[in-house]
Amino acid sequence: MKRWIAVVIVLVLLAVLATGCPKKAAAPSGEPVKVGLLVCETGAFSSYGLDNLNGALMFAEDCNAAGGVGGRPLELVVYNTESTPARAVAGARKLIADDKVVALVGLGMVSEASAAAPLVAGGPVTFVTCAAYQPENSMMFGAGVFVPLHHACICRWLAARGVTQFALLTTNDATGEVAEAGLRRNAGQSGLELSIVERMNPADVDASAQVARIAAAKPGALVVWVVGKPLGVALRAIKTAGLDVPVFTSHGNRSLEFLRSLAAIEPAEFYMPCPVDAVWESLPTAHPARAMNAGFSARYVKKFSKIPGAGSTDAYDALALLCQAFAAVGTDSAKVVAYLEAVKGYQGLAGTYDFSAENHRGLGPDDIMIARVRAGVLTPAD
Amino acid sequence: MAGLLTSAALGGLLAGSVFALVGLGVLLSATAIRTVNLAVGEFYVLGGLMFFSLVAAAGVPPLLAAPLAVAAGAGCGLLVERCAIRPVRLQPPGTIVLVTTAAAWMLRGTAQLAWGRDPVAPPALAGGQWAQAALVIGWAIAATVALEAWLSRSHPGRALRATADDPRAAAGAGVDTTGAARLAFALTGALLASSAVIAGPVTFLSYDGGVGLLLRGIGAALIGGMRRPLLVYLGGVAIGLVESMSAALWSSLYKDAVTFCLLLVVLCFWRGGDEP
Repeated sequence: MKRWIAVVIVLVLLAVLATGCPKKAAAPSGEPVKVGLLVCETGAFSSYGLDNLNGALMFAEDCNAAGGVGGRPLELVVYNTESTPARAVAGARKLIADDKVVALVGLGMVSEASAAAPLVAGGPVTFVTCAAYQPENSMMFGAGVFVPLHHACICRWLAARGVTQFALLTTNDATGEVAEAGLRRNAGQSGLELSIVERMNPADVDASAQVARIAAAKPGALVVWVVGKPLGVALRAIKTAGLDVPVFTSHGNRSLEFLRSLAAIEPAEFYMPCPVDAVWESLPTAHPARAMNAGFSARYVKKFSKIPGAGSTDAYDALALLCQAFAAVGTDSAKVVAYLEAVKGYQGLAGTYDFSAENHRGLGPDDIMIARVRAGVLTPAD
Repeated sequence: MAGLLTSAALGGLLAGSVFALVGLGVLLSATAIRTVNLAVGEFYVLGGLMFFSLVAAAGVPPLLAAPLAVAAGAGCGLLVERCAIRPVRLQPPGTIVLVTTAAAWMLRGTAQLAWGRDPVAPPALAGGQWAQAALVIGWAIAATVALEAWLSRSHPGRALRATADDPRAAAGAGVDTTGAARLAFALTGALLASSAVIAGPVTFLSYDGGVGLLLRGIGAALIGGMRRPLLVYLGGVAIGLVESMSAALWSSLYKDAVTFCLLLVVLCFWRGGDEP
């Protein structure tokens, strides 16, 4: 009996994951549908960029195995942005002028997306995977949950638990500026006070002074909005100082291997805002994202020998939406934009997409939740 | 206030000890190339990542993995010396700096391919945060004292200094300058790998983490005039304390600016460990 249930589940998964592609399994043929991929394969954002690349490769494989896009093979043309806007612009130019791609996916950094925006204003359709970037022209769409919604989610959660003031430890760069502005704005709206902000250099090896100042301010919670190595440095300082408050961090740290390695210095209450694909194993069995992510995660681990990171589902969803549009209305940019703006209730790996002419970032506040981190494992905190 | 200053002082001493260890690496390799080796940060990262893999992936006990990682660090230093430095060792300093830059990029790329982009926290050799901090601070002092004594009193140490001063004159006086350079790079690799084994749980490790450490390590080495380990140690600790204290007493946003402005001022008036 169990075997039959497993077979049915697998079949359902395959059907759901093939969304956006024709259902026939005949091998695709003819002129390929070329989509350009601009990802940070190296440089500061390479961890996220590699996730983007892997997610896109997974989709291309799934799509072509399921018959391609309207019977034509999907071809990805990949360029490395090296985590720099200059390389992103050069790559976008080449993809548009030389490779004649019908859409672009990627641009994982705000600076990359902003620099490439003027180039794509007249097409092709561009799905930006940077969660901190708000699409700034009609040809641009965004995958992932917009970062200010992460800040809003944290503030709502704190306010609901009676916290009145909290602290922020973030980096002394543009990421830190954006985090401070977002949290300050949302704190005000939630009736909270951001009582103290401390900064650290991403290359710092100690944050004792900053944490000591934060501890002196007696906050009700602490947001450590840094990504990667600085999180370890900050958590060690928090542990050494004995600061016992709920600690929140960015979902950019959603590398389970890294979080596991921090288990010894993990705060007693450690949280991060994240989309449903980060906690799919804890979702109710009936939740459609659970079945989709189960299949995706299993195949991802088999193919890349690692657990899917944040950027993989964003890229997968972006390509799935684009290919669904290509299959329905062809590759004309204006028609693709009109099609995508009409998409409502599309269930992707990272959440439920609802686009409109005004909203080119389909995921909203309902697609994000606070997850608790325990020895690298994320579970919904609510 | 006292608690704040104590935390900042201890944190500054801990960070400064790490900067000092990187600075000692800069000093050691400078004895062979007479300029800054921009790959020392990568030596640190590679040594730490090798230790991490031996313990976490291969299941080697930490006390056995540590000497293996140090030996691998020495091997890495020898490889860089043989393949990149030896062909250009007598060229002008600018050429050598460029070569070490290329070596740094190559080592960083290797680390990225072998260990991926995610940061890691290597296992701690000492239990508890305070014991770990004490181990790092103690190791920096021990390495400084040992290097100071070795460079000034031992025959190979004096040969290294002679090579650093004038390689042609040293060769003329019978010093094996090629062997001295080889020894300097092997020691640099071993020192930084052992430092990463001890301090890795404090600094955390990622393939691109060497760059941030390098800048402060060079600052420490410049304060020491690229000659005196004791002054390099004091320079590293001073940088760590200035950073930490300016964050505690003034602003964490401007602590880097304060530190490097002070460093510039100091270097304008201070001739480091230059001997008359």
